[in-house]
Amino acid sequence: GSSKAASLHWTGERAVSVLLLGLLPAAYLCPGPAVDYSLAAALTLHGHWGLGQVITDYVHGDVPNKVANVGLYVLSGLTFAGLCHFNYHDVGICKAVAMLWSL
Amino acid sequence: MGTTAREEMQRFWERNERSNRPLSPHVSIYKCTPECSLPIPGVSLFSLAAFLLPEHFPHYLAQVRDLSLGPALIFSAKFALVLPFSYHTWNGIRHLV
Repeated sequence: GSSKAASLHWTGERAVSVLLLGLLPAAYLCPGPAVDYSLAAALTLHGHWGLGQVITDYVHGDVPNKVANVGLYVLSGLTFAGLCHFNYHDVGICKAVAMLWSL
Repeated sequence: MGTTAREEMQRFWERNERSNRPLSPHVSIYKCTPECSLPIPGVSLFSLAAFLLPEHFPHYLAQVRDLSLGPALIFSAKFALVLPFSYHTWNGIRHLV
């Protein structure tokens, strides 16, 4: 039923948050494509769910809510695509942060 | 038998709506420290820039280096970049435990 779905979603959110937290030392200690793509996925999902909660809290009314959620899907899709594009064609997230910090 | 539960609910709602009671403030009193919002536009902006800008990352980084900004400015910029992420991460950990 729908009540189970909500608590599963909540658990999923915590799981992705913990995963993302674990990816941070991984990015530092063993940078590379595996961590890069995992970061891209975890960051996008974490952000997508997070913004979804913000929409639920602040956007009221059936139609505005649905419109906002559609916009969110578009944004998250583009974000994930952009991050993967960066990982594939450019230096990748881990390397980029390392390079930025050495400035 | 008296009234059914449904009838009582109906009466309750009719009276409730008729009395035009004001809604108690919920949005306005919300503590506006959404530790959520800060890094999110950053990640999406970075990703969209990765899509749209023609050159690769090292090129732009070299451009920034060529600007020869003072070390104090560079440090402040790094600090300003890290601050929302750290705030978000610490509060996130606080929420997780």
